[in-house]
Amino acid sequence: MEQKFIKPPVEVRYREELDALAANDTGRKPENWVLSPKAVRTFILGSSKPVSTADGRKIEIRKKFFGNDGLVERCIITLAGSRGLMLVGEPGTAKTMLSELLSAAISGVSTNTVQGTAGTTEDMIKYSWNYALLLAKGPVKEALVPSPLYVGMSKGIITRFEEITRTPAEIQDSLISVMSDKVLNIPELEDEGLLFARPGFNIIGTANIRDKGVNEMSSALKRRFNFETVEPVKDIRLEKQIIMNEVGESAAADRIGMPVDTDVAELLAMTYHELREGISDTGIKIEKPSAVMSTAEAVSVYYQTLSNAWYYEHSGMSIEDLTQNLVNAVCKDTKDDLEKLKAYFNTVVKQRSEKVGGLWKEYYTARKYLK
Amino acid sequence: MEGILHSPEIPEMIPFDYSQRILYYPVRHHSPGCSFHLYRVMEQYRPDCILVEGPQNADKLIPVLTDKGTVPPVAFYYFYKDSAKYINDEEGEYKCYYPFLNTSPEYNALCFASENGIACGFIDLPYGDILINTADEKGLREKKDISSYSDEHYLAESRYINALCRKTGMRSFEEFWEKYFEIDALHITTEEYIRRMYYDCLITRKNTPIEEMMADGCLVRESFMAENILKKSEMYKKILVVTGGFHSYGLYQIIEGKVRPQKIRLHSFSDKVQDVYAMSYSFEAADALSGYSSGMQNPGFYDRVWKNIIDRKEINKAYENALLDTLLDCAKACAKDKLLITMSDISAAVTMYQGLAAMREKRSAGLYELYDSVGTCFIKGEKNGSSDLPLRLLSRSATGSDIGKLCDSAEKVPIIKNFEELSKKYKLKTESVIEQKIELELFAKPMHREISRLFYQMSFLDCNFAKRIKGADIINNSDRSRIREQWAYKRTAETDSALIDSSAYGGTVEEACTVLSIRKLRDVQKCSNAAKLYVECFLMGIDTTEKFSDRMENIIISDGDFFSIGQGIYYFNMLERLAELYKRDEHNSEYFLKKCFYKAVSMLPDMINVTEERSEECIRICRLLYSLVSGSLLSDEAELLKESFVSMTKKADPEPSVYGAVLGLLYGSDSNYKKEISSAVRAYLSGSKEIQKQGAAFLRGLFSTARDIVLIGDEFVKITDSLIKGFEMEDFMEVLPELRLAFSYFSPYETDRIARSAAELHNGDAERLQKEMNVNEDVYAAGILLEKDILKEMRWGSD
Repeated sequence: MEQKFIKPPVEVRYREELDALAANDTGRKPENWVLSPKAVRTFILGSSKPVSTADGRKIEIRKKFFGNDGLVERCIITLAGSRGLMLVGEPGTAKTMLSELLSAAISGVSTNTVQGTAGTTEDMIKYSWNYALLLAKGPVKEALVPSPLYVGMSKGIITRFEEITRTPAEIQDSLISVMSDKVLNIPELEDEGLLFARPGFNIIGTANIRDKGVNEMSSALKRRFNFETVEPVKDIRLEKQIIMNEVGESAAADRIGMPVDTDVAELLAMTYHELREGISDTGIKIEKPSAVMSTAEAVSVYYQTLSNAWYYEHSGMSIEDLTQNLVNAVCKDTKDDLEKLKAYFNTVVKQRSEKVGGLWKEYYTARKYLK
Repeated sequence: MEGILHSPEIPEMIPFDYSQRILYYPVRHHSPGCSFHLYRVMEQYRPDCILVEGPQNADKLIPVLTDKGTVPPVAFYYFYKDSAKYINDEEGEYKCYYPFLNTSPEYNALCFASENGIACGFIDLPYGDILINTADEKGLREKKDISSYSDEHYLAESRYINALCRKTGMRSFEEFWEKYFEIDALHITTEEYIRRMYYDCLITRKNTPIEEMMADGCLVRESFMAENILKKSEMYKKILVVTGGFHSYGLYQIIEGKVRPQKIRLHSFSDKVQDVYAMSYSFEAADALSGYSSGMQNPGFYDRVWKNIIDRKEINKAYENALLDTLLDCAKACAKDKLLITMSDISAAVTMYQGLAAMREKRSAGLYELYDSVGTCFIKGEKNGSSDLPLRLLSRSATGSDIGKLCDSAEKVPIIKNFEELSKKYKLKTESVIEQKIELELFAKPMHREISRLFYQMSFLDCNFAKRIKGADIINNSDRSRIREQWAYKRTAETDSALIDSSAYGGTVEEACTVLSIRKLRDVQKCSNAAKLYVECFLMGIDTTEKFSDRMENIIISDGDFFSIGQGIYYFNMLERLAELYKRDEHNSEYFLKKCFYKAVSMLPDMINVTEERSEECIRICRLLYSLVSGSLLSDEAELLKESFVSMTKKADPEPSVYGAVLGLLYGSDSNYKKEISSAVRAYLSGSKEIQKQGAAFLRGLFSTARDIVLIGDEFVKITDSLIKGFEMEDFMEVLPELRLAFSYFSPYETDRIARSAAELHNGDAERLQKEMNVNEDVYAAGILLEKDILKEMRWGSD
């Protein structure tokens, strides 16, 4: 019986592509890597030509990460070296997705993950004990409960550390010796208490720059990482394409039988892009809201409107609903953001509704919901 | 991938073999790859004449350029004055630069010719004729801050090349060029290199509409160049033609009779109308010109590559060495700026660029991999404007800081010439060895205003030429009432050397100041600094209308410092008022003033909680904002400002003096606020001792903006009296300075009135209160002595 998941891991979702790339991979591989760096790049950035599978079929390798190909290349080279990779950026810029893609392509598994929170403790990062076994047999390997870091080191695979800056600084620092000496000391195991990392082990951390200052990383730990800043997508056309792809995929998964409207996707992409950059396409300067204006947020606004239309209204998506969802998404933290959104409607949207008309006119009419 | 730059039919379009009588060598300006193969071609072909693309009227400067004493970067500075109105109905002055670097193929071709006694020369139309044959807003007539003769926009903007970049995974044309024409150049044969160049340039040419080539004068220039080549071919047997790759095919077609040349009408101009000078140049200026698609960018880095090829003869390691040197330079510069880069960072960066080069299938890493590796390995944290110092320092190192030198026989640099002309025009005694003084009546005599502007310009360029002794200091807000300026000036060797240094920025003093101020503005982040620079430009008489607008607006928008915005308001407001007096047509200061005003008003509510140290400054800005809405320019915004003031008063834990000042301003616009002020003072009175002390600060703020409140009726005198009575002696002594400051806002007459009211409250005699008792001379002398002793004791104590 086919098992369904809400969100299957990357290595399951793209099994076919990974297998095909492995079968055709002739590039040099760092030890313990499933794919060569070039094949990892192709997996993430896509290929212009189809790739043959083991059973002779041709499959297309789709581009999965948009915006900055150079960044992906740098990430791969970092992971082939001795330093960890730290992805930083605004929320919703696909840092986690990129780290999953990298882990799945390099190690064949993307689920070896530590989730950083304010409550993360050192034993969650290193190892803990099965206390029943510990009492029965004493401190033996059998009683040790390995952490994702432990697993990564012993198997020679990537360990992902999500939201590292949410973890207290002294806990983060327990990574320092692991990253510099590539060894984990387990004093309880005495002579057998040294775990040396196998080749292929590395760490991908992610950190949200909105949390900056919450638990700033120590400079000693920073030195063990190469940093990559993942920026929001700059190209409106690309952003529109991402919105359409993501909403389309989510709608298909949830069996929502409504098509994704290109014009609505464009309208949202432009709104988010302009509010994020603080300037319209005609050069009008706009005050940027303090809320996160990521593509992921735009996808969420669109998908919410689509679901609403599917389950409650049968006549199709309404721009009024979309505007209300937009207000809810933008005006979360401060009332000032509502004023900024109003100003955007009164200048840019107004001008465009007069020049372009159509959907933009409807959008401008829906400004009554900006309250 | 290499197949991308191959096509079976392309090589046949322009034959390249050493048996040809005319051999076309295609170049890109400042390309070490082109220069590398050019040397091989010159060695093998052994031409008896080398013809180079460049305005023919610069032939006279070839001996200066190729002189052993001349060290690149240098440039030719062309000018043309269209007094005969050939170009359009308005008389215009045109100028452009033609830079030569060590890596420039044109420079190397001319040096080779000079060293080997080979005839050489430039073959393009003179500068004025190029302009006359160019349509408005095209080619050399495009409106730019600085114009470059060596324009390569065809190549850099070609849709075909852009498509090729995308296909090959390169992020820009420059990266594409580096991979296939610079790094590869050191590993492939000359024939293969030229085949690639032809392919690139020919496809670009085939995709360029003929109308475009007509409009920017390209076809006329090629016809003239071809005519010159044909003339020389009657005198020489082997001619090497070194031109931009885009023109090689055009020249070949005309010379082979496949295309009819355009008709050319040459004009004859005197040296006053059209001329060219050689001048020392800088890598920085050459790099700025490259921004206009005029040759390769990052001259400092490619100069390193070139020196590895030529001086160290390490062809295979040229990039490796240049990358490492530039990386180390960057790390050292970071350390100087207190950003520690460890050996581990450096080694990670090296691993990174090598790994990236392998992944990108490059024969060696290049500058773009270096940028990638520094961005990843040197920046610890988010990459943004405040953390990208390593990248900025790398960019500086890649640009280079070398300044060229002309041989002794070279003619005078244009900027010096311009300075001398101006000095003559204004009858300045610049030849004298004694310091001269001059008094300028700024508002009465236009020429005096111009002299003042020149002095300000020279000061801006750090020429140590003129110093203002007396006169209004607008920037520091002192002596503003003076209507005359007195300056002392003297020309020294330092003046000339500073001007030559500035020559890279322009051929005239004003142009150099303009370019320099634009550069300075680019580095400025704070509105206060940007506005100060704007004032400097105002004093220098530089037109900032178009050049500053965008950047200035961005600075105002992104500056989150209320006090910096406040300083901006002060400067723009002042310029707005002085514009007419200084005869300046100032449109922008009004616009920026409004921008700053709105920004400051939006930030005001939070300013109620400023620290005590900044309260005085905050009050000053509040008063300035209030005075703006009282004037005509922003009178419509009075309500907006009032709203902000009201929201300030609603916030918790206000800074007392700012709170008092804001209430005072609100009282100024609406006398009903008197009640609110009374209740605020009473609240301070009824508070704890600490709160009572804050009452003194509150009064200081209040009196600074609404001192009349005390003079109307006696309510405030009574309240103040209650406040003072409430203090213990010790606390009173503590707040006394604050109270003294508060009453300093009143005129002596007003103080007298207040004293009388206060005296009446205590049934005292106001006269007695006002008049200090006479002090006996002996007591005074004893007091002085005592003070001396105390000071002595305190100094001893501090030792």
